[in-house]
Amino acid sequence: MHLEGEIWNEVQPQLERIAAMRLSGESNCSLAASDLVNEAMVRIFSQAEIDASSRPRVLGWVSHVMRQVLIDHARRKAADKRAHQKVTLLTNIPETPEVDFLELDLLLQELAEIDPERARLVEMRFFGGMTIEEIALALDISPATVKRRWAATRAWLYHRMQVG
Amino acid sequence: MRTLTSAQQREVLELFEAALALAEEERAAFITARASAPEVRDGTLALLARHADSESALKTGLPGALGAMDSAVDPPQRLGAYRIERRIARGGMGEVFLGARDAGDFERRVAIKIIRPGILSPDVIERFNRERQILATLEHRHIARLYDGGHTDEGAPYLVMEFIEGRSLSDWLEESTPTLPERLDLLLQICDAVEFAHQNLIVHRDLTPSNVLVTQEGEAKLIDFGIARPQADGGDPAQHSALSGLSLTPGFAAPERQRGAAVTTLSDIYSLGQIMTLMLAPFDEPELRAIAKKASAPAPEARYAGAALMAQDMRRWQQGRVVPAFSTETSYRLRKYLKRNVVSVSLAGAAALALVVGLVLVTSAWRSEARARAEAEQRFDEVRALSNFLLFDLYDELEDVPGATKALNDIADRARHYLDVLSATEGADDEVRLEAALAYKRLSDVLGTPLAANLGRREEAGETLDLAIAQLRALHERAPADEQVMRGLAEALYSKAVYAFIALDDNAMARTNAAEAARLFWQLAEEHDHEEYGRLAIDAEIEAAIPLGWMDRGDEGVALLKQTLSKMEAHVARYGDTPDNLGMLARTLSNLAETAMRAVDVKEDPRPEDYADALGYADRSIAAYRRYVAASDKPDGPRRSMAVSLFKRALTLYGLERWDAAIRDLEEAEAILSQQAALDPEDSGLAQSLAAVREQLAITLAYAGQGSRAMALATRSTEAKRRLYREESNNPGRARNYASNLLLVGEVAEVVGQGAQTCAIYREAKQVYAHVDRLQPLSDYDRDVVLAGVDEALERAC
Repeated sequence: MHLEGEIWNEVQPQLERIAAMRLSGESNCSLAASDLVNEAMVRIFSQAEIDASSRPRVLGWVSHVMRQVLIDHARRKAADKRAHQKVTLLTNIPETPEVDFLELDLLLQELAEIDPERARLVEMRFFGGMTIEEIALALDISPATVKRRWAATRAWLYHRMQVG
Repeated sequence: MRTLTSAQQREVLELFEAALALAEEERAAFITARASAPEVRDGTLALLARHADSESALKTGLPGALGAMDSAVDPPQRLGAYRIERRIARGGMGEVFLGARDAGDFERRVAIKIIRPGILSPDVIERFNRERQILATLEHRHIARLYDGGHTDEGAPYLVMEFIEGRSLSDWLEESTPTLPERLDLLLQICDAVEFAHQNLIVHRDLTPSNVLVTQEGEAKLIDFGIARPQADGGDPAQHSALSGLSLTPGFAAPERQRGAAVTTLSDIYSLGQIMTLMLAPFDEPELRAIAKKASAPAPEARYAGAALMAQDMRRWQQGRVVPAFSTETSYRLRKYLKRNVVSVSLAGAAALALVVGLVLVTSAWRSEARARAEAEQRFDEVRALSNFLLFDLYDELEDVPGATKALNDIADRARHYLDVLSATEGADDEVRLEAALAYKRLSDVLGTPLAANLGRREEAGETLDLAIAQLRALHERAPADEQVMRGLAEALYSKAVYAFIALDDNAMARTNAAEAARLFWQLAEEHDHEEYGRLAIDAEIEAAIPLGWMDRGDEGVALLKQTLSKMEAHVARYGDTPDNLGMLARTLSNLAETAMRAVDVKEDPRPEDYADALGYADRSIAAYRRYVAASDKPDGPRRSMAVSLFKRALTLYGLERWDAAIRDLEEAEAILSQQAALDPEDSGLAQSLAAVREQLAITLAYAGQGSRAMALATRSTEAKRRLYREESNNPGRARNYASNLLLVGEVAEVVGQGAQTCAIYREAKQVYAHVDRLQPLSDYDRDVVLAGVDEALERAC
């Protein structure tokens, strides 16, 4: 998970700007992370020669930046309102519980201590909008494993969110 | 699960994961058998119970990001969030596929049109990309929704549209041989859709029977808005490229398009007329044909001005009323009139009455039509006017209204939208482009360049300003002699210089931009012998020199400003000591004084006499301001500038510990500003200047031994800043102002000898600075110099 320093330095501010632009003015912040990432990817790949095999890795990085940007954003909002920012994820299921970014971030930190790869997986799936296949490539494990691991980790996260 | 160790947590996750590979009914038993400890077992079982819920709760709904990048070979398996299922159609422009949203969040069947790479000219693609956002918001019952779009790996543009189960208009006509009323209904739907699009500034550009779909329910759905199609293969290549931005479906594209005229809403009206002709072919209805003919008139000005007017005539026909387009012959109108009024009106009376009624109808129809055409032509102007109104008038109006920040932000967004529409408009002439570019500059001021009150959206302001500069540069290259363009560019560069200097703290960038602005203004002054340009050039030169004072190159700055000063003196000699010239002279001197002071400040152990030059310039600047005030019809502004100059001189005097002279200047400045503030309590900029003067007065009084007056002033200044800060504690500007005020008040208290109070004030200052840093990272200066000062002060006082 290392991108050439130069490219990274060039790309990171752009990512942050993209994210900030997308997030600015969005009062309730219903967002599709994939939009952010897609836009970022287009910019990265138009800027740097990156061969196809490194793309999943780059995506992993981008997911990470997106997490930071979104969390920072949520944190600033929280400071604004002294309340945590609830984010409704795009889903068709009625009454989907809102996910608190800051809470999720804390849980991910905890998860990283238990199993860093799982934390990375959540980051990719959740903040980067990566598909099972892409994550499989990035983490070098089979898609079936990613699928199960994601399901298991998601259940864990959900459980933790419910029980506190 | 909280009581579990990390290792146990890991086991829970792994066990659960392994269980998921099994059939549902085997999982619980598997977990119970394999868990190494009861806690692990219970934790895992708890997860299993939650599993079903979590399926829905944490669904990401996020499509593969790589999907958009990795479009496979023909046909791709997926594009963005969509899985491609099968090909629906293949045509000259590309292929249409049936797709489904593959993100698992919601079901949606879509039609995905992949346009063959290279078939659209870069211009068209660019325009289309710009318009896509507007297209995506075009919600109308008879327009197929555009959901998404992008480019495949090969660079082919693709569109994701509402999937319509239906057939093309041609097929509908052929297969179900609709009745005349059915056809008219459908035509009216098409007209409604086109009118709606036009109102949203979207021209279809390629209305043809294959771009109108008819659903099972007999509803029209227009597709492919805004995509122009190049000429059919085999055309003359030269012509092909020249026309590749145009839509030339034979028989449906307006004749003026062939001549390369700009696309307008009237081109769509022409196509509507042609579609109507086609649909009415089997019927012999002269009035309806007249409507179609009028719509398809070769001369654009002879057509209906809008689709709504065309629809209005069709509805008239449906209701059996006069159709103005058909004929103005009395016999026709009479026949029509009689048909409706056979019973109630006597023949003799009817003839006379009919004539009058007919004429009134025609005239009023013509009038409203003329008006509507003018409106269509003006729509563009209106959008332009609206953006100007929003940016210039309404914004100014609301700017000082407390609590209007959200409205102002909305205005800026709205204006941005209009401007984007404007600059995306095809065929706009350079005059309009210039206007749009200038408006972008204004938008940037509003968003957050430091010259005026702004919304604090600084990055956006910088980007918008860059956009304005880029557009103006392009215009300038095309028309190097155009005065307005050159002036606009020079002004934008000047703004950029200020922006770079204050917002970005990029002194080099500030200097480059200001120098270029100065060069352009000098060129303008030379070419047009317009007195104002010389003054603007001098202003820009000042802006180019000031940053040197902050780059520890104050001496260079002084040298440059001395040159500027002699140019300004020459300017005054040539054009007289008008108020404007006196003002600029004073500004030059004032900045010369400040830069000279800064040049001495950075020297090691400066002696008091080193400041003599700086003070001399300051004296001259204030003298010039006094003359400027005396000469001006509206002396408030000049007075305010003079107050600032007095304030700056007081700072130098303060540094020299010449307390009494400093206090005199500050008291004069305070008197000017407080008088003005009393007249205009809403002016926040004024209030800020006044507060700064009072703060400085407080600290100067403290050193001059006037402790009680000093403390009283300091306390008052803090109260005001604290109130502003508490009103909006997440406004970095207010927070920073409050923090720096606390620092100063702390110093006053320290000098005056209020020990206990001093420590508390410094502590609070430190807290507020930390808060500022969280809101918006502190500048290097604040971090390295100011914060270090706070720490030192804390050590002294606490």
